Amino acid sequence: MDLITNQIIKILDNEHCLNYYRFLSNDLIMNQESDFFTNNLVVFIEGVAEAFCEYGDTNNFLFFTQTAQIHFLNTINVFTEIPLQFSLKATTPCKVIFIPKENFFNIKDTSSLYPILSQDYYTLQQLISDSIINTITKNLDELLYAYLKQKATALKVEELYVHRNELSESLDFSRESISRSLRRLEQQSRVLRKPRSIIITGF
Amino acid sequence: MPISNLEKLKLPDALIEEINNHALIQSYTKGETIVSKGSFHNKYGILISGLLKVSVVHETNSLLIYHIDQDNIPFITFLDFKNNLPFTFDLCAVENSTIYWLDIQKVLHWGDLYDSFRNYVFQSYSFQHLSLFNTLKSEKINSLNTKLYTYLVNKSKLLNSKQLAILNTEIAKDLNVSQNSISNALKILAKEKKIIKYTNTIAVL
Repeated sequence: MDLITNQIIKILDNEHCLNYYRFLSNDLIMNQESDFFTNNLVVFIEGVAEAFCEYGDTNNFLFFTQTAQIHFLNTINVFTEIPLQFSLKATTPCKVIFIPKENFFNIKDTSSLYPILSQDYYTLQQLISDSIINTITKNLDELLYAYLKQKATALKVEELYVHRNELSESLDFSRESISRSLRRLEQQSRVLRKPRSIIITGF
Repeated sequence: MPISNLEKLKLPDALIEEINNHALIQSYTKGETIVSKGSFHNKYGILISGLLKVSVVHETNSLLIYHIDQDNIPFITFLDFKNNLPFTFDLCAVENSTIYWLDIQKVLHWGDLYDSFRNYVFQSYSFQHLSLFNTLKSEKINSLNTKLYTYLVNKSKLLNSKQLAILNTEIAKDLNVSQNSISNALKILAKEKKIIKYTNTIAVL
């Protein structure tokens, strides 16, 4: 566990605010539709998770987050009543802490958490900004390759066991488009398709 | 000294005095780039007068995210207080503007002393995130005509004028599309009686 996560745990432990929740792969950790996250802060302790926005029936992949990358996941809710803007699904088993907002503001040492909060705001703004750049500049092949590379990096593997359906849902393209795109990426030697997995090459 | 914005925020008098004493005051002319993406800038800003715009940029692409004006939270919040990391965005002056730049250590210190100041600092981060998500959503689901009309209405509100003296090149840059697409979309909006296009101005109806 990283130093900052340890520091947060120590502060929360002193205040008896340590309530761990565990999630299995594919469990929804945060739901953008739920009011719960307007009143509770989420600290990500362990695992890899995928963030996405839902617009009507469509999903829009945002980013993968992993241990030590972002600590407070719903920073947008800490000082405002703005609804949560994205959902988070566990890619691997994950561990998080939920803190009711009123408990957070009663913590004696809250001020030592502000620099960490600003760091999380900064990281999140970079990730959303990257997602906007991907949306306005990349075609499906580039989006798919970026998605696979990000997932492989977060999971620290070269071979991803991933279904076409999952890719189709995450990137909001048809299965056929995803298959054609994977074929093109293979022709460019950027991926190697196997019956049940995809190997990211040159990575 | 123009402290009207600080007074509008209803911060404690003692804090306003401290901000006035410690701020580095800088003025920028219309169109000037204040901070570019990738540059290091370890000061925290409060817009005192004028109008700013924040854009994401990537190679030759650029997209307007939001404006910072005096009537909403005028804080310029891009920083990671913990680590000195580069700016993620481009910050430009849309009108002649004045900014108070403050040391991060001072901002953190005042955040500890004054809850209202701390709340403003972090609320401005949240509103910035909301603007980013709104931009992403708009790029995903809105047509160019809708984006252009929203852009013109917002600009009209910010400048408090129905007549906008704005070039197609500027709109094209802000919305990350070609000038031809903007010309075509403006014609459609004019046909729908949402705007009137004059030689050098656009009237938002």
